Amino acid sequence: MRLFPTLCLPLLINLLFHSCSPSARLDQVEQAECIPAAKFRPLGDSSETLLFKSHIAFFREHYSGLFLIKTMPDSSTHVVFLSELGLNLLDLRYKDDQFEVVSVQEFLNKPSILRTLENDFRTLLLDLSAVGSFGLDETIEDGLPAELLIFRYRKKKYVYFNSEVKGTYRILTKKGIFKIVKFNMVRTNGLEIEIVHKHVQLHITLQLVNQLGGHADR
Amino acid sequence: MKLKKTSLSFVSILTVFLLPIAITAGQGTFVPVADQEQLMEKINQNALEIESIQSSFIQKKQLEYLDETILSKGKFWFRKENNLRWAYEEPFEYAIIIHGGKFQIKDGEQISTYDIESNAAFREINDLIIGMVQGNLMERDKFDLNAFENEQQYLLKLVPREIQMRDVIDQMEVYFDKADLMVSEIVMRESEKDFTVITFIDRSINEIIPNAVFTTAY
Repeated sequence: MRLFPTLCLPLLINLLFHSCSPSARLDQVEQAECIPAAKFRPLGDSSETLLFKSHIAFFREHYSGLFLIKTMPDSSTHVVFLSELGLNLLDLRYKDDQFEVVSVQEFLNKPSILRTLENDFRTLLLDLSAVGSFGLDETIEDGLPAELLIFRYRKKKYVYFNSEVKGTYRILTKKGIFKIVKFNMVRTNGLEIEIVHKHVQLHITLQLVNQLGGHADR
Repeated sequence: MKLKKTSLSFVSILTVFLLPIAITAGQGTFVPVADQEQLMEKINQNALEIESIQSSFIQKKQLEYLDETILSKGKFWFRKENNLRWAYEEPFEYAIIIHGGKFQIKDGEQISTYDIESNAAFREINDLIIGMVQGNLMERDKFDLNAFENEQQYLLKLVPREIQMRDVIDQMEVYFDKADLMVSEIVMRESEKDFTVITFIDRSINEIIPNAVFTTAY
């Protein structure tokens, strides 16, 4: 009988706090007519080619190199992971919210890894105009004003915090009440992105090193 | 680059350190070398006489769908036996250091250390990088080799024999200056339009390189 309070009390408290959190309630925020996409676009101008220094820690394995995000004239986006010596480790093509594996090296070619990486990059690349119902609100982040965007998509809840004053951007993706992935972005000095998974030993860091310009003319 | 502290797959190592074909404009047409065995003997003999090498390098990555070239620059230092510092300076600082049986990676302020002898994969990296900078990579039995020459250079085309390696690299070309039989350029080709070119410049041979160069504090 003593097990009940031991096990259930923390769960109930957790439920209570999560369900009352302003960031967790889609129905409590203002339902706007359209998402101000420019404010809630994690990577900024989508026509630019972004080159990131990257590090992926997956359980005991570590991968480092360069991440390239390139938007093509047909509105598809390539997400390419390169080794330091420039060889392709992974090339994903994203269009109409679907990923296609263009190429992948054997050691990354595992469904669980690919699915997880695809989900992470979907969060960064997602076209918000495709999102149905959503809410907008204002909140306070560390004492400073921030804008809040909440929506459900693909059975997950997405919570975006955009603090232009702090130069930070945060996205939480949740399943039920549990946070599953946290994206921390700092824009004060270039762009740094940290992707932290709650239930998988996966940690990704991306640091913008170069913006190469616009579309390839092909 | 993939790094796994216990068991790294050979393919991932090759992904990082191997390479394919080349394109050299304005240097004359290459024709097959009449006596390939004799050339290999000369190159290997030259490698034996090298005690140390210092050089800057320029690395250019070309992707089929990218107008821009991804440019990296750096320096490397090699000293017999098995001491190497391969350091990128642009677009960000990153160094691979091999010294005293240890394999270290310095990524900004973050340093990771691996034991070469305890891990077959790091032994492969060790052999490959050092073979590459010395010019005796073609000794390895993992490639089919064809030698060509023009007035200024020898060109060795290496085609991986192993299927796993061919998944990563179509072909590698290594250019040697005839004047000193040193490697001047390496081209790694993953496909016809995806390739990486590493050009070595400002080389100096057999100068004293202090131990401090092969430490993370340097």
